[in-house]
Amino acid sequence: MSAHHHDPEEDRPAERMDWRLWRRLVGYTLRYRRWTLMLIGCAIATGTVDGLFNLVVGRIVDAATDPGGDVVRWLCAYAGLIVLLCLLVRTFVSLGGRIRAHVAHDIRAEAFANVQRLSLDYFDKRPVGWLLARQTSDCDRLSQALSWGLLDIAWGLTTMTVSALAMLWLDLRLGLIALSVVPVLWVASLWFQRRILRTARQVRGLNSRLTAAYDETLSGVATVRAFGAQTGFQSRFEELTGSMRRRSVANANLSALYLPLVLSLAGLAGGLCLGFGGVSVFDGAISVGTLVAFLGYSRQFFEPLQEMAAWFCEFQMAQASAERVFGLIDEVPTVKDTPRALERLAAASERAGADGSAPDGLAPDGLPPRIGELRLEGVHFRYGDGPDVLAGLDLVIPEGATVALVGPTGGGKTTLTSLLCRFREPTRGRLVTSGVEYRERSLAWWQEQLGVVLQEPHLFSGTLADNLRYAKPGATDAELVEVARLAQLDRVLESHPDGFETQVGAGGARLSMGERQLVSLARALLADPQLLVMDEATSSVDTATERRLQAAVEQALVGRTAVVVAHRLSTIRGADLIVVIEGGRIVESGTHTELLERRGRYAELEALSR
Amino acid sequence: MPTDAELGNGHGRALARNGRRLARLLRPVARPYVAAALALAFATLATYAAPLVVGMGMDVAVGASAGLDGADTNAVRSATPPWLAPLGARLAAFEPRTAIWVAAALALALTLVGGVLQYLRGRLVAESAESVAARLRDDLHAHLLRLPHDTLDGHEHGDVVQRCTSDVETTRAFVATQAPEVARAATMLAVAFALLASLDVRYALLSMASYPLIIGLAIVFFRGVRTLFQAVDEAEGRLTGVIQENLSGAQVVRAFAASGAEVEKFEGANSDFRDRTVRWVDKLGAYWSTSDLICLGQVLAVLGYGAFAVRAGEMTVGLFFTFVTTTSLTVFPVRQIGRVLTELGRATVALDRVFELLDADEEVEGLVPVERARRIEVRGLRFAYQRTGDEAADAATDGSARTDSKGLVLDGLDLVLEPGRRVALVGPPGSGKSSLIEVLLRNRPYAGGSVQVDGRELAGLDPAWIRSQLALVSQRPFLFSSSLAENLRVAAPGATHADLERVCEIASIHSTVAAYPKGYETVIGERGVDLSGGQRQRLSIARALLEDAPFLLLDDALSAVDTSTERAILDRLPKGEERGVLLVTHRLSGAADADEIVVLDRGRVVERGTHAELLACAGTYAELWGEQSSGGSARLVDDVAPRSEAHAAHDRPQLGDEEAPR
Repeated sequence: MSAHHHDPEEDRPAERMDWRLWRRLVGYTLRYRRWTLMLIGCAIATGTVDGLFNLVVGRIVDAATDPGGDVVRWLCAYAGLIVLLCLLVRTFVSLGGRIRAHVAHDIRAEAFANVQRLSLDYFDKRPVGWLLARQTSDCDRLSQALSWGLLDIAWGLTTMTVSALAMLWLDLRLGLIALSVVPVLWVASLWFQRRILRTARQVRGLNSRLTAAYDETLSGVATVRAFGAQTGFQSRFEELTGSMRRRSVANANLSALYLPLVLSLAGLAGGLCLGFGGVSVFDGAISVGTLVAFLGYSRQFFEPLQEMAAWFCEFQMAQASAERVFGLIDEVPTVKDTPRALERLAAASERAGADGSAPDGLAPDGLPPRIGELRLEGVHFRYGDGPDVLAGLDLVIPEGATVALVGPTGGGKTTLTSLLCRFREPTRGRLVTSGVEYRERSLAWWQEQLGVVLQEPHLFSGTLADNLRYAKPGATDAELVEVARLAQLDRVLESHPDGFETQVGAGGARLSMGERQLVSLARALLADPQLLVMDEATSSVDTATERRLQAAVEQALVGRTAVVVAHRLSTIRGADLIVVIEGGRIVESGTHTELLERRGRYAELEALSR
Repeated sequence: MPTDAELGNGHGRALARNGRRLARLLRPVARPYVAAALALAFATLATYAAPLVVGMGMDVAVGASAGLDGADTNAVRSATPPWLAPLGARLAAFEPRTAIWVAAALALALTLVGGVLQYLRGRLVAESAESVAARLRDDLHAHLLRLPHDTLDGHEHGDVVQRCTSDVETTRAFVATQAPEVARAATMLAVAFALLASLDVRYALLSMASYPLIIGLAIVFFRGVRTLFQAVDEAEGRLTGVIQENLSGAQVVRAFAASGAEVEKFEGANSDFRDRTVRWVDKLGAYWSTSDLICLGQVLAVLGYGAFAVRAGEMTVGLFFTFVTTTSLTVFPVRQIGRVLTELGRATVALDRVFELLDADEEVEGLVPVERARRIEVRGLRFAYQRTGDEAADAATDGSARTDSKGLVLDGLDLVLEPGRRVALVGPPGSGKSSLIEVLLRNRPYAGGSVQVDGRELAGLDPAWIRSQLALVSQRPFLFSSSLAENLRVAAPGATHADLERVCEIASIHSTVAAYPKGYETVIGERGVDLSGGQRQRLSIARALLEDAPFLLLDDALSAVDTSTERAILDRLPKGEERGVLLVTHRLSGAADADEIVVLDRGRVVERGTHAELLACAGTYAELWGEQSSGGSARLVDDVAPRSEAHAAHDRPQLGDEEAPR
């Protein structure tokens, strides 16, 4: 709504051509070398054929005015050019479309694949829409430039060259006269296109702000209304549409000036041709057919300009798009397999032999497949350059134990769980599992051993069953029924007539928050994880359901290590270990009884929760 | 949404409907738009006059001006039309070399005049189109702020944004580009025909013979290709959906190490989009080459006929030139007409989508009482979510209870809210707690029973007024991506800094805010500070307090706040006469000291009373209370002994206090 979430990258002008970037981009087109060469060939041939038409027209005129001339021959030549041109058009459109679609596909696939590798901290400050645009509209814009742009430029340059050469060949003097306007044209084109580009950028930036403003209004409409703040919102929005209108008109004005300018220059060239050429014809120095051809060329020379000028703008935009998409493709994940882990993976896969399976029931990195005891040694964490969110945590989580994290909001509980999940890694200190620092293990293997249930769980659009099977693609119906029972999801299923086939809507929007939390829990249980992390996993579930849930979860937790964050202390009383975290430090730990006896922070919290 | 399958009358109706809509949009800019049309007409005239003059000059150059003497005009047709005979005579009076230069200068002058007119046209059209778009955007935005929730529920969020952005853009492009393009082609056709006919009627007819064919082909083709285009569109939508879900579920994807499956799903959508694009463009290639064949064939026919006519001495080279040039100037824009006419279909769809939103009924205004609300009395309230056929309407939060026999989410609810009274609402998900709040806010209409505000029925009251009487804090509060202060001031634009600090103190968020380097000017969201769920909830409580409404609605508003903070906030909330509170909660500790606790299940009240009363009657509430405060069976590991100790040490005194008066 305000200038705040103005994306500076969006408006940054690509001042000059970055040739290294373009070389890399052309690399995508060159994956389809045969098509690309054919496309360029077609474009050049089309430009040439286009250029030949006027020559033939001149010959027809000459033949018509000369009693001995062979009109039919030149008419046939014209017809031949038509057929040739149509075949070329047919071919280059298909080729262009093919290249465009394939290049977009490939760039997008690379971007998407890298996004899958990126760690979660990358997503912290980047809204979904921002990342989405890089994989959709930016990729499209690039592929357009790399196919149609290439085609139009090749065609335009050829047409202009052929026209210029034909004029010079027909009559050197007249040709030079007609082409005398080219320097003016060049300077004027640069001047205008720079300005058009600048205003186009402003319009684009405003446009994305408009979209964001609509988006925010829609998401916040209930809030705006609840506070009766409509007028303020509307007037701020109208400021935005107002500047959008002014910038757009400024942009259109420049284009409206540029086109007549080109036409006038073409008119000037034509006038000069007619004047000098007409006199030459009168004097018998050149034939009237030559004059006709000349007049045609003086027009044709300028025809590709409009298109090429548009591409001039578009290429700069595409360059900015390319920078953004490559930024995504080249982004190195902060959480990834360390060199040590990669060595282990490589060594293990060597031993594994042909079938690729890890030997003797070992994990893919050749280490024992159990997480075992988890030991946190002096774990620190901070976001970026911020203050320490975790400041030296020492904690032992025995295998199979249930550990509860409690403490005030903002104390670092959720951060600790994301370290355990290796969504993020400690900025200092170690996290040791069965004697091995967890960063030396395979990241993929580690995350496969996890079950995570979050306070605001994300569900994918699709059916309930789809969402459950997300954790285990091959799960049978019986398995689904079993985890649904465990997670107290059966009551929810009863109330939805379609049962497991209920559509949950985008992000699970058609289910209530409590229902979503239950689905998310069932999903985590289906993954049969060694380590279950639950962060406020049942905060929106009523007490009765939660009570039933706990009996079931207790059963499901046998043989698993579990780390549970809860505000409702009643739910974690039975935990093997309760850890009170405050200000990024552990202030107390022990069982419920021990902590109460200590009459410390936990006992205080406990008393307050009554 | 109208389908493309609309045929015959249906299509005609759609055109008429959208014609009226366009007229409505264009009325405010009628003057510049008409001026643009005039500039266009004159620019076209100038464009065609130039080759005419060139043709005349050419006749001078080849010495064909003899025909101008009038003696044998019937035998040899020259490039000078009868109505330009005076100009022809004037030219002939010059020395031929001078005459040629005069013609050249005249042609250049015409081009320049045409250029100026073109510029005027471009400028006027842009101004009209942009102000149409700006007004449309403003209207849509204002309308969104006034649409009833039920209407908004019927649409996907992204779809509404798309209507407001890309459909408006399509409309703008129609006004700015397509309509002028059709007008230009039509003017060109008319001017070219008139001009050529004044030179030679038969030749004029020949040079336009293929136009019906070109236009017909374009219309038939583009209508046919539209299914292919829609297939591309759909594939693109699916692809975008896959990427979007992958991004918003990034954490889940990682938690389940599912990126392999994600890549597979994406690759399916990505290559589908690619292949459909290829098929569509392939068809386009077929069309463009065919229509090129016809257009150039038309030029060839003009060339052939003219060449033989010149050969036979029936026309001058200048006339021949004029015909060929005019034909090639006209034929390609005419080819575009067909495409533009079929693109009209897209503009039609866009207009329909925009106006469907714009024509949807806004919330009805109602009675605005002058005094502050004092008492809200709910009697036998019944409520069900409206089904719009489209399942999108199911995007309600409390969805589960909808499948009751009658589909009622609230079934006979009674409740009284008064300043100074605190009512707590508890119950399982889907029991109707949030729905009650939606009804009270007049976000949704109720099906039966009554809600009276100081004796006036809610249905007749102004929605804006009732909302100003109820300050809402929702479970997942929405904060705008602006500064903290701006977010708070949404509730009271004139609030002073001291006001902000006061409410933030109450909501236990002031110290957090004060710790930020920029304090209250800290920006939330995308490029700013991320707030945790609990911080958002506390900030939105502060915002609600700032509104200073007689009633405060807390919809599970402290679920992400720890118990001690929750207690502190609840204790600090204004008490006494000035404010009534409706508290929806799962945590009974927050509900315990309410004046009335209402236990809901499946839209009905199953128990009500004070904490002590409910404990005494030993029903659902008492059972839940026992679970939450003692641990009960709510344990993770069977460990009976310490639990009973805990019970003994901490629960009894309080229970004793509560029960003492009984």
